[in-house]
Amino acid sequence: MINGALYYSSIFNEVGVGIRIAEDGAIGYSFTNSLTKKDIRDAVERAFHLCKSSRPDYPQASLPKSLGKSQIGDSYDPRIAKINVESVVNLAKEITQGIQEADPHGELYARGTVRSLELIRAVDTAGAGIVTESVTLLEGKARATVRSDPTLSWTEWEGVRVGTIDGLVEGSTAAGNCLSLEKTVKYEGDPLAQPLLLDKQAVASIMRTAWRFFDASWQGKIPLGKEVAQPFISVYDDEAAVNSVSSRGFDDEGLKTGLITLVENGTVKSYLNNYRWSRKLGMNTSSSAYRYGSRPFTAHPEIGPTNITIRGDDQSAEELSKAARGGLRITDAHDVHIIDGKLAFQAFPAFQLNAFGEEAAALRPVQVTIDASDFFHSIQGVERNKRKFPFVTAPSLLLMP
Amino acid sequence: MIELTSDALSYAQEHGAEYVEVRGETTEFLDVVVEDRGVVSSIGGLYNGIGIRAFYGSGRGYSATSFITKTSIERAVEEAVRMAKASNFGPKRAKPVEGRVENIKAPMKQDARELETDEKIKEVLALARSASKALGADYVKVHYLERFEDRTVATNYGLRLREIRPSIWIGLKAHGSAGWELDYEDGLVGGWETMKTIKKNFEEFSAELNFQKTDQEADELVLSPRASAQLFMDLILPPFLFPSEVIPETPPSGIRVEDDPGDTASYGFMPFDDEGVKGVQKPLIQSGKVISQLSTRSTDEEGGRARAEDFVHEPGPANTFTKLTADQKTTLPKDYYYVPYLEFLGKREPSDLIVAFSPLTVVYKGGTPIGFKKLVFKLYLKDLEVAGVEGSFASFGCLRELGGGRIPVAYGSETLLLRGASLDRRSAGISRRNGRIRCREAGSAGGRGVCLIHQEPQG
Repeated sequence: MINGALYYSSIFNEVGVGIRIAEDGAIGYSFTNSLTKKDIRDAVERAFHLCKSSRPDYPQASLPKSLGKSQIGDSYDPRIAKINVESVVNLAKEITQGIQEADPHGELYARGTVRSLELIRAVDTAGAGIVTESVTLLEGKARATVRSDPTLSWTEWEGVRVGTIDGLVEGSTAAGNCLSLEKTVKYEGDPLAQPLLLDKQAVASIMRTAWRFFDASWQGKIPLGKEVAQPFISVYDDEAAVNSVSSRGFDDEGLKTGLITLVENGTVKSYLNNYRWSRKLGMNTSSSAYRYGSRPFTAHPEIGPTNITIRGDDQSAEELSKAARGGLRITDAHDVHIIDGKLAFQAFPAFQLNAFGEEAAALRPVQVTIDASDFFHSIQGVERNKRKFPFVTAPSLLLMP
Repeated sequence: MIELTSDALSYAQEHGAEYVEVRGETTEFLDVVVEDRGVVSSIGGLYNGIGIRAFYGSGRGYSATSFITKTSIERAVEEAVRMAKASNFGPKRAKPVEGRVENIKAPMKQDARELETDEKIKEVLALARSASKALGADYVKVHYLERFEDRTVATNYGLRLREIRPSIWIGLKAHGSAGWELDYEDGLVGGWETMKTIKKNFEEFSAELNFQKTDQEADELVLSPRASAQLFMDLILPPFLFPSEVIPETPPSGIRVEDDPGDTASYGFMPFDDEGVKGVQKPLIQSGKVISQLSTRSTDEEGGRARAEDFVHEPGPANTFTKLTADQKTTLPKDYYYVPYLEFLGKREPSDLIVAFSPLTVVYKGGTPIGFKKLVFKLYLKDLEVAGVEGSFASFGCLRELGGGRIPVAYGSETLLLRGASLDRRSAGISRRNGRIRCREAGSAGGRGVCLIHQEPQG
């Protein structure tokens, strides 16, 4: 919804089966969205034919062993499944109403969206065991944009809840933050000598890309055993964490998930991998197989994060703000890229902090480019409280020069 | 599928929808990913389904299902109509597209589906190996996507459209020991014969690259048609080409941009859009003015560029085959940086500053390539001067995340000579003098490698 009118809507129901066959060191994959015996048999034959047509992988491809006949994970929430389209429209209205309350003069181009997603995964590995998992998610998003010459400012607040959402609060937070950015100023100081305080949302935005430093399949990954952070810093992928938005009991190859230690006491210990890459690198599998795209059953399992989190010295938000005085507070990061060994992002909203750690001025967008290893090395403080986002559970971080 | 489409139309009318659009699709896929050593994945499949968009007053609702049963389609129709009724509070009411009947088949010489899969995989592997050799790469991955799409659009106002569209798309990722990365793609509408053109295009592209490092510098900046299209179509022009919440200022002058859905071989070929509007050529930008935009009938009455990846997505505004030419013509200078492709493009900033990274910039001296270097360049749009090299127009097909998913489009441009850029090899400093290029080596900033660049013009 933009300015109270519907902008986009989509409801989608689907069924489908994907079949993966490994034979003579090669893999074939096929899918169908028709569940008749004939169509499934055709899909199996197609997968088998593709397998025979393919050259063997290196090392020779095989499939992981089945978990057996077990049922893992059930975060199915019937309350969300019962939400009807009228309620979804009302929730979006509620978000927009929150924006309008914070913006009585109509200075904003406001957008409120609510997404209701019900995802049921079923994975059958090696034809032996069946595991099932149901996930329900209701996601609300408020976006507000303000045009003030010469700056175009926008801010987006994501509210992700399993079960409930407070639309009014999300809407008014986005609007309030956007209005506070109307009079942004150019940053004049020497930022390189200043502390940077990354808020939770900024950390989540950065880590949704920066997880690739621990992606086994990526050529730019940080070498195992390298000291990348202070000794009190650890990075995990807590794949089965209770009540986290993207948690899951098994990965997209049907392997049981758990806590993956990526960085321990500042040193890189492991990577996220799938079965293929674990064999290529001679490592244990981290059960991080992920099928991308809007129809996961049509895709081969690649590698993806589930719930990345950074743990450290458990400081309070006040302690971090105090330590960051005179520096910059970065509320969100956009356009996050890894390029040429560096992590690059646009910091916005961003604020100059005064000598008491209070926000002194809202800043125009600032491009930040940090050497990958320096990013983790410069983390000197980690907040105790964390917030759950899709794929990341984020604390605020203090980066010191 | 046509029968099911008719059922969905009448069922939606029974439920009180005033205007109903139904999109039916059947798509056959072959999706193969290879590395130079072997096959990473091969996926074949068939996917079909129906998307229903219902209008009621000013409200609209979209629902889709891939479960092709009467019950499932009826459920999807009911949800679309309920959504339309629940959202009937906006100011605009949709006007139906006039009824007409069209059956369109994109030209194809050899149906790729008739070839043995192992033959095709052999070809893709051969492409990966020849690319690996031509690029001297450490790693090469080639993604082959063959699609045979049969899609229909129908409304309760007599619209009956059908299109058959075969296509092939190749994506190539590579990296080399000198720290460069390449993300190349090309696609065409047609049968297996298009592979020949795609391979030839890649050979021409790789012949322009140079893998000998050099410290030499140059004074001018020249962008290949591919890099020019990446810069303009992906970064500079979208705020002007698409309807937006915020109206931007004046577009860059000295360029002419048009969108042409009628080229049957182009990957952006679109005889009619996903709202049933006939695909007609549109001038977009001329003499520093926006002439028209890529719109849908949700954004203006004319529409004509509503596209969706598939029936799952409600269509949104997208390009078809967008072509850029410069008003001013020039010849290539003797000494220049040649940018064959761009790896990274910084976001368009409020202050009109663009940051782009060219990992394999070829340095030309006296008209001869002498080596490559990494280059970061920053463009201040207000200072930008563009001249096109006569007879250099080239195009490529690509997949882009646009309004309704990942859309096949084509971009074309001339080789462009750009003035008004500042170059910085290590992305820390900015230097600009009289609108000409100046380079300087920047030191490690602040001792921790953190570089913060203000997104503002200097002065």
